[in-house]
Amino acid sequence: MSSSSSSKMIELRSSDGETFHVEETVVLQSETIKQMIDDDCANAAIPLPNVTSMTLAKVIEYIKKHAEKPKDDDDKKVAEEDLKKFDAEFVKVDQESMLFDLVRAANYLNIKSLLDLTCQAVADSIKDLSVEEVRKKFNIQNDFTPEEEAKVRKENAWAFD
Amino acid sequence: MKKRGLDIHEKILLRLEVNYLIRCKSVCKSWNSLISSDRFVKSQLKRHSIEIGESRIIVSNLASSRQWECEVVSSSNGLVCICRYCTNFLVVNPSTRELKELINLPEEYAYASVSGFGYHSSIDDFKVVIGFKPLPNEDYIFKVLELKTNIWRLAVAEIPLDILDGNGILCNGAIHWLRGYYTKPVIVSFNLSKEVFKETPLPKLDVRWTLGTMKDHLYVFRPLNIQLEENEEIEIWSLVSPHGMGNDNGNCNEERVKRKRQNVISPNGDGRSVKSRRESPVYSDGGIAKKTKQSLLFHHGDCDGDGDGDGGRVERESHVFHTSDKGRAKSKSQSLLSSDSDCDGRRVKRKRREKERESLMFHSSNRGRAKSKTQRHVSSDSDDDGRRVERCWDLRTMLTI
Repeated sequence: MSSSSSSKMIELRSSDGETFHVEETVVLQSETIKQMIDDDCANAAIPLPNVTSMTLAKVIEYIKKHAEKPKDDDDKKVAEEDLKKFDAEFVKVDQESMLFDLVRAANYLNIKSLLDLTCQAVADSIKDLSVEEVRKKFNIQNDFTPEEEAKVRKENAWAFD
Repeated sequence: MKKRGLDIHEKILLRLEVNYLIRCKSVCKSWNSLISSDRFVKSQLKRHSIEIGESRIIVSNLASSRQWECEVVSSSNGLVCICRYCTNFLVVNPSTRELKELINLPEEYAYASVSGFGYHSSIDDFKVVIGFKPLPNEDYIFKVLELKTNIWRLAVAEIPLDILDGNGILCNGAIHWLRGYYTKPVIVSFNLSKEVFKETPLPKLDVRWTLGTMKDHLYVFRPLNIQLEENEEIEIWSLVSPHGMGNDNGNCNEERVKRKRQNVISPNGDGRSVKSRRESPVYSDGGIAKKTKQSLLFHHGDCDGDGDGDGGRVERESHVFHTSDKGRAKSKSQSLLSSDSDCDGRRVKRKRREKERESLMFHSSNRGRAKSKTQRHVSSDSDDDGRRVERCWDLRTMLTI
């Protein structure tokens, strides 16, 4: 039974072969891993072929912080503030690709709060970008013909003001 | 593009507001079709409804002498229905600036003096309902149009609806009008999915009352036509059942009135004590508080249409008075509804502390009357009202493009 062993450690293996040991209670924030544990598939190291060690380390930092339990009500308020600050800092990553990696990892591991946080950070970051800059950021090839693009832009011209 | 990639892009894009999304349509074909898709539009609306939780308010304001030219019928899920010259209907989305002109009525002299508009989830479409008299002494003819088909159909009214008029109030999937203020007050409801009319009697009211909605409840207000004095009270009756007035058995269960003032709406400022509102017919989203700020298909955007968020001023103002007196009203459970009524109600008296707080808006169900009232107060409008009028002209310009 997974619930009876709060201090049980779960082993996670990143795509580049690095292993991480995380407390089960912490790692349960990932619905994907929770499912694996429930299905009794977590006896050996859990391979995470879509997550690099760098990203996984960040994810673990996040879930560890979010697993901290406040002692009392006063502490709760402080902890909430603290968590907000942590979240704000957490998405300030040096490399832009890291943010996307975190979105993908949060999506794959199904950690809702992390997915919300990172998706919102990406959404906020593209608000003031031009269409070309958005393409570059998302690594998207423009597949419109010049005529098609002109048409779409014309239809929505007011949004570019 | 790989499906999984697009899946993540969708999750990110869902967090953007409408104007950014419109721009993102130009990024690539898959984004264009994603953002245009019905599923995405609905998810976006749902998401932003929950997160924002406040309605925007549309201010439509023409000089009084021209008010009859163009009138907001109602708004629902972000779409706004507008009537021109009582004969020609438009549905607009201020967020995306899309406009759909409804097909004209086949009847040559159809002057729609009764109208209503609303979204109904069971049919996943918007309906417009209108009533008109072909000749002065004839009975009303009711017609219904679904936005997707854009065809007027006849709606059968099995109850006499001879003296019904005005823009109906949308609440819980039905449109409501108040009829017979002095003699035998009745709320007439039109169920948008079943397309049937229903009457719910009210106790006799001593003055003309008006209808309004707060959250998912229908309320009857006693309009005050004079400037309120300090500590004067306003009566608000909640005619509540979980299903508003449109429930099937016609009985409204007594329910504790939660004293919140959000989203009590008024198209005409009618019966309100605050001068500034008289010149500013104000609409909200059918009174359902959970409306999003903006949606791709369904919601109000920058109200004044100039894209600078100036319309947000109206919204903020309204937000202030919506929330400023939460919980201040004294609630009394003095049932004044008589035994011949199907409805139980609770009487709510509220004390007025300052004028601003009283800028609660009421929904009027009478077009003509409100108009004359508006005119009466034109001369006494302040500078602030003057500015508001100007802003509203902007809105009109946008809408009639």
